[in-house]
Amino acid sequence: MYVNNGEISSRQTFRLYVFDLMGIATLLLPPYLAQLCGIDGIWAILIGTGAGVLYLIYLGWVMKRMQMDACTYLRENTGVIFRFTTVGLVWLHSIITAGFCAYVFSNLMQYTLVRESKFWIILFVIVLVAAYAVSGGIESRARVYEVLFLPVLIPYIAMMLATIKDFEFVYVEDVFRVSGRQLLEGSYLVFLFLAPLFYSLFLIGEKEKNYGRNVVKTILCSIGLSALILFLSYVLLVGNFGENALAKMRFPVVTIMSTIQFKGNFLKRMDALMLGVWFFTLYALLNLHLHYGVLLLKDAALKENKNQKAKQEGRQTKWWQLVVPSVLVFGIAYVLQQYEDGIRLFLNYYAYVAVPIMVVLPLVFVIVGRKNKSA
Amino acid sequence: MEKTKITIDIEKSEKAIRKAFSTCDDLKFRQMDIGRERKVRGFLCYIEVNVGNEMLNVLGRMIAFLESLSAEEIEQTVKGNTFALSDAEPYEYMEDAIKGVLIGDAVLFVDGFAGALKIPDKGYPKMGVSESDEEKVVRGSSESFTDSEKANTALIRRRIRNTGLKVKEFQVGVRSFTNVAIVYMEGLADTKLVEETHRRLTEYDIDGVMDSGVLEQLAEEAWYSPFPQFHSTRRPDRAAIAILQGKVVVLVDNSPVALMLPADANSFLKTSDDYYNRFYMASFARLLRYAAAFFALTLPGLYLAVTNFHTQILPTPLLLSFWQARIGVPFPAALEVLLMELSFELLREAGVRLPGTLGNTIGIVGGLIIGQAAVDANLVSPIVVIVVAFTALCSFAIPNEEFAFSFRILKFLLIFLSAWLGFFGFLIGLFGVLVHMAGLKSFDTPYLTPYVGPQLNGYQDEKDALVRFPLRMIWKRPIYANMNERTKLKKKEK
Amino acid sequence: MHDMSSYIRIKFYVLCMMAVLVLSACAATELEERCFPILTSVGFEDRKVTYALGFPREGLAGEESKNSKTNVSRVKAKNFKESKTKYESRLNKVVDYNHLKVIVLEEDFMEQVKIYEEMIDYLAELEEFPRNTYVCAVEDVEDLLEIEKDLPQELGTYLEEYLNKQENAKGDILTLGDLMDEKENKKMVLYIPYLEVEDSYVEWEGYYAVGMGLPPVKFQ
Repeated sequence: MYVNNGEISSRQTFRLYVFDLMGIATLLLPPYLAQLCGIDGIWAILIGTGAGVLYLIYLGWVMKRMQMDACTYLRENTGVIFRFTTVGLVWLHSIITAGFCAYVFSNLMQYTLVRESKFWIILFVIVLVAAYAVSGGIESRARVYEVLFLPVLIPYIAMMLATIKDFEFVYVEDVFRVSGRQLLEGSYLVFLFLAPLFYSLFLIGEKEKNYGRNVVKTILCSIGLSALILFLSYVLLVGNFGENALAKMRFPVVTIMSTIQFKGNFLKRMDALMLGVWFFTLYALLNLHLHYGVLLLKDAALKENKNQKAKQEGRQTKWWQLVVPSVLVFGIAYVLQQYEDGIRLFLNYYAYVAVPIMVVLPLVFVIVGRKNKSA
Repeated sequence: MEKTKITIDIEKSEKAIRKAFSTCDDLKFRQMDIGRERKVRGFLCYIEVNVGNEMLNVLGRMIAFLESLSAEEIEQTVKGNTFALSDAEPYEYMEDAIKGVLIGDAVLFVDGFAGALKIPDKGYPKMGVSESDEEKVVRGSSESFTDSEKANTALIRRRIRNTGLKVKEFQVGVRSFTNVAIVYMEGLADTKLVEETHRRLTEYDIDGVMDSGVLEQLAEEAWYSPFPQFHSTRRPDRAAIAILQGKVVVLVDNSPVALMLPADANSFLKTSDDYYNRFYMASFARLLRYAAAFFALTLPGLYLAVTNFHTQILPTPLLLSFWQARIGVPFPAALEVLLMELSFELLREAGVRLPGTLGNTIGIVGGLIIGQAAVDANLVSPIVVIVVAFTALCSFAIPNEEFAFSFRILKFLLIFLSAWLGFFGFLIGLFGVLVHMAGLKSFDTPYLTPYVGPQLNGYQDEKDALVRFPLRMIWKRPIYANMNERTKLKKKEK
Repeated sequence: MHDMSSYIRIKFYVLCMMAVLVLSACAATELEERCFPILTSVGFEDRKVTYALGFPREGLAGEESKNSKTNVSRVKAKNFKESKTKYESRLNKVVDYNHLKVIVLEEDFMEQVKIYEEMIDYLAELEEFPRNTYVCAVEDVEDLLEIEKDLPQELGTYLEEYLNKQENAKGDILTLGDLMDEKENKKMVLYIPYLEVEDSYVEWEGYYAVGMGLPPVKFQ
């Protein structure tokens, strides 16, 4: 029936990944995409999604070669130095990205909901609750998002569809204006927001001949749905605001919520309530990165022991394995806040450092693992 | 199905009946040597609580009569029903005899007689069982459990007349030796669940157990959680429904409260008349309870978030109405809400402790008069009284008191967070509660079942969740029932 | 051991929360400490930008409400930002613009293209005024404010309802969000309703055309 084994079901995987991918993408991507490509950002979304699908297929190939999750594979098939270096890199990346998520999250909350509160207090509360969520393990987290999926998604889609009445076709007429280079940049930008797919390597999959096949199929569906939502959201945003106005907005998808008014509706404005969508989706992404920040630390500290009791104890999170990543996440978010455009700073790191490594690293796992096996 | 004839060999009969009633500790077997020479063996089989004065009298007369007879005479007397004990034909088949015991009669086997005699009795206890004060229902039995574990077992057995209903008895309490019974349906309940229940209930050495609540607290895994992990009930029909769903029921002597496990959040929002009423009524009531549970937790927090931080949500006339109502009130909104909530909790507590009509009166006096006086004196605004009263009403709509209490406690957390950080604080609180519930388990069953993992039972559990589908569509038992016995409803083949 | 560690964990979380509570203070502004303007009037007089707000009448029932004054005198300053700040500093409550219904722009103000565009930029940056606030233009703001006492309700609500009613007959109502977006996009011509004050009523007589990067043009 139910088993405590650190595995999550396909349904949970699907829902988790939809939240991870669509949340931050719908929040941050539109203004940057509008700056780069204008209405032609829709093609960038399609191309970027295509790249994401290819990346996922590549990861599926890697999973098939590994036949187990990445942590176990590295422990069993690679040397200590290589393992610690790569795990350390991934861990560092997880912490930095978690810090970025926490920064965006706190920024959004402060900007839209609690302007009078101090940034660090909001950040502290967010990180505290994120740490609590992560301490329950991946299964517990997956259950939260399994339950929240429809209550979050349906109102979001309904609200976005309600913006159709203010859609101006004149804003979406000028297609195919953008240059190839701009289109490629826009596509790469979209691909950046799909980079969390990398963590699928660390999911514990079902023991089967084609290991990882089910995971890939499930996440493919997540990509499809997230891309569709992003596509629709982008079209509606450009159609409502126009590309130039959209490019200057901070969180246009939240702004558009404030303009929706249903005739006869009791509530005057829904933007504050609709912020629940990004509250939960950003938390999903923050928890994802923090989870791997904790998991990789646990893995690094794990002593090789076949004893069942030791294995069980090894699965439990020690207090410092939770506190250290959380404190680092807080620190990184706080530092980002000191910069005028912390988002752009992080996106530069992501685009030029993190994502290229995330593309190359899985292949390196396989090559080094095979080499060690044959040796 | 082929029936087994009762033979003259009493040992065979005894063996057969003991096998049928294995691990049924509430069934009693009385062996006796009857006749003048005490050479004829006999044994009596009955449900323990059933031993009333009438049956003792009948038994006494019967034994006395038989004592005067020789072995051959005994045989003739029993065959001919000479002393007219049995009110019907003697049982010829073992299955009938077993049924007789289950119905509530005592059954007598005599060596050399290829049959069994029914000694009639009053049957299962019907009187002495009071009406349930709590867990009131619109439709269905009004019986409530009593303080006697034996009587409670019998109340359940009256509703499930099957040898598969097992009663595993043991004692807890080093000095009190309190009887505890684990009641379950063999084949429906997971054996691991039964074993785990027994293990947890006997994990501690404790002086005395005066109520099932003591065992509940000792056996809970997440003792720090505000949410109960055992589902308590005073209703025998509720317990019987749970057993037929594959759950395990724990009865404790001296306690009228039975514990059902595993528990999930959805089960706390169900009542037994959800299954007796038609699905429209049941579904409407269920949705209402879910909404009530949500508002019981969130309404005061939402009010604070909206009025102090996010005034754009409310329509202008309503906002101005709130604004007007707040003029002259000396307390900040958060303190106002807190004071009113605490006052209501005080009123509720006082109402519970005071006897009878005085308890009812205090509710009216406190709620109406004191509330009105506070508004007139401009100590609180009328809107806060409405919010707090509605919240209290919502918490009353939650069927299970322990579950409702968890919402009452957590509501204060949301009030605090909303007062501090507005809607963001509200969402943080809500998320925190959700994360906590997602991590909670009751005997390995996630607390958020059936909203998590519904695919494991073919999405059937969702038919009895937010709404209740028509009964004919709920043909499968829930996920925690034995995997091989999931089908509970099937149309008869013609 | 596990129980102890989870116990310690819980204590740690609780202590953190309490520390944060002690160190920070509740930042909420109480409801009664706020005022909710429903109308903003922006004019141009003596080479200065004038600014005034209209409020709902205090008390929504009773005889006194009909005659109570809802406007505070207009202030003048160099530009929109300064006049807004100056006006707000004179009030005894925190201004909450979330229920603003209408912005009334004076004709003379509309003619000051640079100052008008500065206002739009400032409002876009500030994000204090709701995007779906209606925008309309009048010849003289003082004349409009004068008729309020004869109206069945406060001016802001009256104008909002009037514009809603006229929408089908006269054309689309313009919102502040539309103006802010078009200033960046420069793709459409928008028509700000131009109201004329006659006796104690208003009439929607014409439009101010804005957009496409061109200065506002009035036509009737």
